[in-house]
Amino acid sequence: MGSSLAFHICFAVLGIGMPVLLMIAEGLWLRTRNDVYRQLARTWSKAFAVTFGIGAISGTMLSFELGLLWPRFMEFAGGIIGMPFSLEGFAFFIEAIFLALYLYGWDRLSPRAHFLCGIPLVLGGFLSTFFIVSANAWMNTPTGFTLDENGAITDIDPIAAMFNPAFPTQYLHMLFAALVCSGFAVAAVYAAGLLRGRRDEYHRKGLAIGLAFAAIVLPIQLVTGDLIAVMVTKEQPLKLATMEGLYKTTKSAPLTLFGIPDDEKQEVVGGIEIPYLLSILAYNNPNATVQGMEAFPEENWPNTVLVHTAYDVMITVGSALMLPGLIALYAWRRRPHWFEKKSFLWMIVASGPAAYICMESGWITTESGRQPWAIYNVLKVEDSVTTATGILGWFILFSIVYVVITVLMISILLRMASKRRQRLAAAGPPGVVSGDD
Amino acid sequence: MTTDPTLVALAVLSLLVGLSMYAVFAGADFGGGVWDLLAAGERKDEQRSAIARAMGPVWEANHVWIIFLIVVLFTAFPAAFAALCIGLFAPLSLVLLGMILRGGGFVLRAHAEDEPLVQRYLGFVFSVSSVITPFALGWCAGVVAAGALQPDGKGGWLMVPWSELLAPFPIVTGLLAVCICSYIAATFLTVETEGALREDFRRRALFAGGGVALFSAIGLPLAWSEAPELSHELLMGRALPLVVLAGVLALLGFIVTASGAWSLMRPVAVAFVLVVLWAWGAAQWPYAVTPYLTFQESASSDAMLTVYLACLAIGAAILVPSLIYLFRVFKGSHPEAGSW
Ligand code: HDD
Ligand code: HEM
Ligand code: HEM
Repeated sequence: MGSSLAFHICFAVLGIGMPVLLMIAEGLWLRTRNDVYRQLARTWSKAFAVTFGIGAISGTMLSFELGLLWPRFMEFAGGIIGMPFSLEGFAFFIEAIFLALYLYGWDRLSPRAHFLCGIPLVLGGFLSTFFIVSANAWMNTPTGFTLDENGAITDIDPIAAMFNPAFPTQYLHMLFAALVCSGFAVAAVYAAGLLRGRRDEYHRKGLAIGLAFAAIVLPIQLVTGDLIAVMVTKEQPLKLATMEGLYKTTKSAPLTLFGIPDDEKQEVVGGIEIPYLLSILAYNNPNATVQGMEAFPEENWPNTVLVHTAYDVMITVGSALMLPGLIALYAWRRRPHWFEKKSFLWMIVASGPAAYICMESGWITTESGRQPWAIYNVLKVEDSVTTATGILGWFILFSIVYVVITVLMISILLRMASKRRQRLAAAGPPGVVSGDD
Repeated sequence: MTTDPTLVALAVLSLLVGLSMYAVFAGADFGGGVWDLLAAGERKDEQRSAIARAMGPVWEANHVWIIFLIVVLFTAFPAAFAALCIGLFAPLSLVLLGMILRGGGFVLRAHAEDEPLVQRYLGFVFSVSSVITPFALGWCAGVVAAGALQPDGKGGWLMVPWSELLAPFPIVTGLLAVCICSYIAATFLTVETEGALREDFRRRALFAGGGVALFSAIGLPLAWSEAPELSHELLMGRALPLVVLAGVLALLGFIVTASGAWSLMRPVAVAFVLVVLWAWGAAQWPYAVTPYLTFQESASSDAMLTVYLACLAIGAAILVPSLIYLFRVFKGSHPEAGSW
């Protein structure tokens, strides 16, 4: 399940971010009538069609897996948190329908109608995130039901379950993560093109849109990161302590970066401590006391090394991602030639995978930090898995399928790009060709 | 605490409507894959590209119906969902594998134009998995109707053993599902093609219709011994009127297809598929897992079903116009290929 989710989320973030970028590029075209923007939008829409298709099948896989691997979890949770999943079905419909109109409608709809089809497409992506994150947040902060003394569920309130305490912050953080990832992914592709000597308007504008977009949303993303940390402190103090590698309950707690948590010695070996920062992050108050892991029974501790490391990767890489945006802002008017510099372009190329690494490690933090609970303080993982046998062969088979699909998809996307170049080369100087792409 | 039976009935109804949409629309896409596999004769390539053109813009939207069915099932009937997922682990895995390979093969093939070999290979993956998926779905339905999915006596469920999975009745229902999909697909394709190509698909519709008749004729007597609850309702109980109607529609379908009454072929085919499906639904009611678990017993709480049905109404108000718009733009008669 974890690996399927990690696979799916790579496409899902594009499903959320690309529609926005498509609308930006197409909007710029409608405004300026500069055909380069139209070419960008058309190329992106084609590539997006492929990633969306793969996203849809990996998502299908997840819906089945929820049942095939976690039937007892779903039996328990379905009646409480099924609501957002059902609503997500509608969001998928909207996204699939308007993607088809967008993709196949370039020559069938008026430019205006075509552009407007982007709006439901964007909404579809935002809404599917809304609903699915609601379900995930509920696993972190389960509400909307009571357990009676026999362990039976009563007083179900699907609305309260959907709008559980972790939901607002987790939703915003995930949504902006998706936008950040899409922006950097696009910027990285065009930076790579520029590095290979394709120094034309098409690549420059592609880079500019992606980078500007990512640089604008990233600061918002970091603010939501602070909000989510405050929320975790309140709702899942053990998870927070694990993320931070904080064994002892501490007043004016420092933030420990890196290092390897050692459960025996109850300390982080080789970490860098930044005084007061944890208390500030968690409570916005340098003198606040933060609960350590010692306050909780050891059998409920998650995997400390994994959670601490994943969290550190997210915040350090996430903060480092500010750099390309800041440099670009500075260079914009004063040092335009920096945009031609190899080192700067390489940095942008690296920021694409870096954003993805951030996002994946964020999810590892959230999901592993919840262990051993599948539903926090309610249902353990061992009580949610299937009783069916033969899972291992299944797992291997589907892993192979993933790998094959990914390899094929990447090679086909590369081929699409090189075909476009061949056509351009055949048709004249770069950047001025219009027509069917 | 029991759930309000009206809410349960409405939720089952919504499942059946979703299933109908899936059977007609996605069924046609699966059938398209079948005809891609069986493409033959001098117009082989034209047949394949007509199929690809017809599926291109709509298959993803059509596919979402299965997601809809899954999420509704676990929202409204979580206990039934868990039972099906545990008991039918093997066939459902096959369904899933088929769906992944079908979608992946189709999407990737569409973009591999200049690599004929890769394209041919992906096309093969696409078409073979288009046969496997409806087969496996029909197979699952047969297994459940046969009562092979059984409780373990400790509140859980047993995996259905291979001996029961491979019994004749479920296999025949699987084959029947493949034929039904092929029949709708061929019929739909006659609307979207012209001339000799159209004639090709008309003949294929007749051929698939023959398959439907054949497997129904084999399936009904098998059901008598293997799936008594189902066949009792089908042949002597509440589903009988629908079964008779299905027979009439089958005959009508044969006549309009054989005589090339183009404008009637599609409505008759759709009506036939819907009636078959609803006959099955009526015969299986009230069981989600025949004969051990009813929909009523496996239903969520009143609160959940109420909210779900309310959302369904709101969602439908957005969804229906969007779907109509999609099909209006891409599915008039003889649509041009949409340009990318
Ligand atoms: C581009 C991606 C990205 C970036 C730059 C950041 N995050 Fe993040 N983070 C995610 C992507 C992400 C995520 C993958 O989207 C997660 C996983 C679950 C979720 O809702 O968001 C997440 C989870 C997550 C959690 C765990 C929530 C939980 O367990 O319930 C915390 C505390 C933070 N983040 C905090 C931060 C902070 C303080 C950041 C600032 C430096 C930060 N994140 C940058
Ligand atoms: C981490 C959270 C998730 C996010 C942000 C997310 C978001 C998305 C988005 C934006 C899409 C649109 C398709 C695309 O662009 O590729 C999508 C597709 C899909 N997702 Fe997820 N998803 C998440 C997790 C899940 C889970 C846990 C499930 C399982 C229930 C799931 C099931 C699906 C399905 C079935 C589709 C395909 C819909 C279609 O056919 O168009 N997703 N997801
Ligand atoms: C895309 C981001 C996600 C990633 C990378 C991810 C990863 C993981 C990992 C690593 C596990 C632990 C697996 C194990 O212990 O075997 C897990 C468990 C689980 N996740 Fe997620 N997850 C993501 C999003 C979601 C979402 C959006 C949902 C549901 C709406 C979800 C539902 C579950 C469930 C039901 C389990 C099993 C119970 C458990 O182990 O806690 N996950 N996930």
